This record gives sequence, C-alpha cells and structure tokens, in this order.
Amino acid sequence: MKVLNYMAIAMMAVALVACDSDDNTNTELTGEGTTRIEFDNSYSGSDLLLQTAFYSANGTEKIVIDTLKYIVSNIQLETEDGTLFTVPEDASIFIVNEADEDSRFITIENVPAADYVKVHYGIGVDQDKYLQGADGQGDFLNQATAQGMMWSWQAGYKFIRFEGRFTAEAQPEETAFAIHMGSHGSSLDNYKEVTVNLPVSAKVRTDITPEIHVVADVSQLLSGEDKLYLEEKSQIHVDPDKSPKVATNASKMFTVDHVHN
Amino acid sequence: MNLYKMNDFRSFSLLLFAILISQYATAGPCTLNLLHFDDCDFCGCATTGGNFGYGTLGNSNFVGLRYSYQQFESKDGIFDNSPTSKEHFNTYQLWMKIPVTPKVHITGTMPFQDLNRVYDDRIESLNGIGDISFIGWYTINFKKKETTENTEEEVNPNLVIMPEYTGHSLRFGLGVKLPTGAFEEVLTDRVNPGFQVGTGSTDAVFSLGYSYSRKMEGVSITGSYFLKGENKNDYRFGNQISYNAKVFKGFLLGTNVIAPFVGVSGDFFQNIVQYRDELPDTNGYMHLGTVGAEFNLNRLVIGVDVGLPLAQHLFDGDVKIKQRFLFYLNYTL
Repeated sequence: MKVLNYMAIAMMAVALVACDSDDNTNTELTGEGTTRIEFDNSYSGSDLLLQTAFYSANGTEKIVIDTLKYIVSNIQLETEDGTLFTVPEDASIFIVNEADEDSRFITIENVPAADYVKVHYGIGVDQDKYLQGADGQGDFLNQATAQGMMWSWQAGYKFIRFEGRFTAEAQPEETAFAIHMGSHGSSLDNYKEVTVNLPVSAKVRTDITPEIHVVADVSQLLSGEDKLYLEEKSQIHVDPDKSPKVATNASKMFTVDHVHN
Repeated sequence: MNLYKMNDFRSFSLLLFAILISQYATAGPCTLNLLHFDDCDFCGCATTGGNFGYGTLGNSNFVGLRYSYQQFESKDGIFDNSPTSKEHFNTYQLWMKIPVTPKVHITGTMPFQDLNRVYDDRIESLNGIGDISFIGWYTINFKKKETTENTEEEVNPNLVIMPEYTGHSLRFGLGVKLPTGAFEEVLTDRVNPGFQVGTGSTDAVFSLGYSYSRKMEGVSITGSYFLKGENKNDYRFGNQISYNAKVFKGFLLGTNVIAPFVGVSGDFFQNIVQYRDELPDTNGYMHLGTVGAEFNLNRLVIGVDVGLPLAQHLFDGDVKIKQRFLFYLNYTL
C-alpha cells in the first residue's frame, strides 16, 4: 500500500510536469530576424521538370518546357492584425529561374520579429519603378538583361519567360512556343500583385528563420482561368490581347504549401 | 489552456482514485497471464521511445530483450512525383516487468534506436539511446460468484490455474516517458518528423486493458492514451491513442507451451503542435493486422509478431507504414 502511494505521488508529479506548459505567447516581441521564401515550380501537382517531361495543356496539347523564369518584386509581409512590413525596394526584386536552384530561394533580412500570416508580392516590375528610367533600376537592369528578361528599354521587362515545344491534334509536328509577358512600355500595365496566405504563421524571431515554401503551378499559365491554346498562337510577345491573360493566370498560380519555423 | 490542464488532471486523479480504491478489492494471484503488450507507437518505436510493451504469457516478472523493426516509406518532397525514401526503424529494447504487490507491477523500457532513411542518392542515419519509460500497472482479476465443480483436466505444471477466478481481468496503467533520447530540431522539417531517436518531451501514458482467458485460450485488448508534452524546441508531437487486440490459443509441446495469435493493432494521432500552431496534415491513423506466436521454454519466453497494414492515412498519405516485425526474448526471474 505504501509503495503504491509513493508510486502514485511520483507519477502524479511527473504527469503534472508533463501537462504543464508555460504561457509565453503574450510577451512583447523585439529585435529582427531573417526569413526565406522558396519558390518551387510545379505542373499540376508534379515537380516541374525542364526539357524531359511531357505535360498536358488544356487537355488537347502536349508541351515540353525548356525555360521558366519570372520576376518577383515588392515583397511585403503581413501580420494577423494587418501590420505590413515592406522589404526595401532594392532588396526586393528577384528573378526566379527554374534552371538555377539558388535563384528559387529568396532571403529577406532585417525583418521585425512577428508572426506573419500573409505574403504579398508582385509578378513583374511596377510602373513606378519602370518610370524611374534606366538609372532607377540599379543593378537589376544588368541582371535582367543577362537573363534575357528585357525586350528593350522602350518595351520594358519581360515578367515571365515561358518557353518550350508543343504538339496538338492539328499540329502533330513538334513546334516551338515562347510566351514572354510583360508591361508594354507604359502603354499596357501587366504588373500583378499576388497575396498568399500561410497555413501556419511564419514566426520571425532573432533566433528563428522561417522558411515559406511557395508553390507555383505553372500549368495555370496556359490552362488557368483564361485558356490559351498554343495551336492558336504559339508566340506571345508584345500581344495586347493575350499577354494580360497570361498575367492574370500567373497571378493566380501561387499557393503556400507549408512553413518551416 | 487552464481548462485543458484541468481536464487532464481530473482524468488522472480519477484513474488514481480508481486504483487506490480497487487496491482494497480482493487480492489474488493471476491465472494465465496473457499476451498483452501495447505495440509500437509510430513516431515511433522511434520517437515516443515507443513500445510501452509489457506482459507476456505466464510470467509475472521477467527481464527481456526486444527487437522491433518498422519500415516506412515517406515522400522526399511535396509533389506527386517527388521521390520516396525508405525508412528503417530498428529498436532494441531492454525491458522488464517487476511485481510490487500481487496486483501491482511496474514495467520499464529502455530503448536503443537505430534509424536509417534511404533516399535515391543518400542515406541518413541516426542512432542512440531512446526515451526510457516506466508504467505502473494495477490488475483486477474477477472472482467467480460461487465455486462450481472443479474440472481438473490437463493441468500444466507450469501454469498456475486458480479455478475460483472467472478468467476476466482488467488492467490500469499509468506511466511516464522521459526525454532521455536526443531530439534534433532540424529533422522536424522532413516529411516524416517521426524520424527521431527521442521526442525530447516528458509524456504521460494512461492505459486500460481487458483480458479473458480460459484454459489456454483467450483474448487480450489494450488501449492507451499518450499525453505528449512540449519539448524545449516548442515542439509537441500529437497526442495518441493506441489499441491492440489479440486472440490466442496455447498448445502443449511436452512441458512447453506454444501460443499462436492473431489480432489487430493501431494508432490514432492528433496534429503536431509547433510554437502553439497545429501543423496541418500531421494527424492520421494506421491499423495493422498482426499474427505471431509466443513460445514458453522453461524460463525463457520467445515471441514473434508480424504486422501488416490494413488501413492507414499518415501525414496526408505522404508517409506509409509497410511492415512491422517484433521479436522478443524474456527470461523469467
């Protein structure tokens, strides 16, 4: 009996320790941290493979993708109560290139410690920045030129480069396609803002660097809300009719799969 | 939070109370001890240091070695075409059952974990001491209302059969798992966060078991609830319910006994909580069909138990158990 009592007391003590969790959620957060955003490109749930995989577009066309690049800019992080952290402009413009692993990871430093529940960013370059002229672009102009993300200064940036080959029922011969979407100088603004919600908050702390894993479903570019048939037009460059559709589709292809805190 | 704590405490106190009260109930030795052991808990024999295994056929106290092997397949990535990795969880356990009073015994388990994860292009290995656990058990053997005629046929000298018992018994267990195994935070980012030597947390275990045996056949059912604590990385594995049910029949081989069994066992997991956030798609269940046998050779007990999945949904289907194998060798003290 005595033994049992001692045992019970010991177990109760242990069980209490096990159940006890300190509440430290309401303490004021201070300091700054770093967060990383990964852009992972996929095609209808499959990891995107360049040059080797055949994908179906709109059910009637088969495509092979050789190049996928897009510009991500104007990143903002938003907390539950709507507080926005805007990443400084110069440190907030990137080219994601599927062929370059490192380019898919964006590191944002000096982020105020907080729990962020949304990420906002733009696909492309907004008119404000474009209208700053060549001097206002800083190093990014060279970077974009090197990556083939410029038409000419007059026509502006290519926001997306999506290239490959396709076949269709009426076009069994493999044919090249290229979709280059961007704003057309200052006459047509195709810059789009994207907002993605995080499934769990990204807890930026001085000692926690969350990684936000964004998935882009590239199948949306052709098979999204606005259907684009390559059979109809396989070269989309400065196309005032089709490029806004590509822009709309692109703005809807992003989701956050998970967050590592 | 407080309510949650209260509830836990209340159920704990109730259990404790039940145990204390029932201590005054009739005392008596066991009839045939049964094959009743809780199988592995996933995250696993790995993470919760697993295996609150206890009790084997006909031995009230023993020291033993148990080996368990679990094979999982988990996705190495988030896409449909992501490659899979094969995970091999090897657990070597020193376990013992020590009687305290005729109705109370303690089981202790000390695991050593040896885990391997085989990717297409690399192998990840992890080994070390796992989480040590102790459970205190209280057993009630139900007596017959009145003693009917004693049929004395084929009495096995190795078995103590007390005819005044009905053969029904209930067991209550209360235990604790200690964070003796290393928990590596970096591994939580993988698709199967159960790939850990230890949970890093102090967990409470509440068990309830029922057994019935008549001569040398019977059934044994055990259910356990694992209340998992938060570790120092603000990480808490999901609370878990495990069950295990078996039907067995013993046969005499000379003076030895062989007892084959079939059964089912399974687990239900709640979501993992990290920094107070429930991580989506980290809950799930698995049900295994089990078949095996236990051999009694004088003071040695050898057991084999093979489990194959009947139904499962772990980590939104990204982790799959493929098989489980248990082997144990106990020496009766």
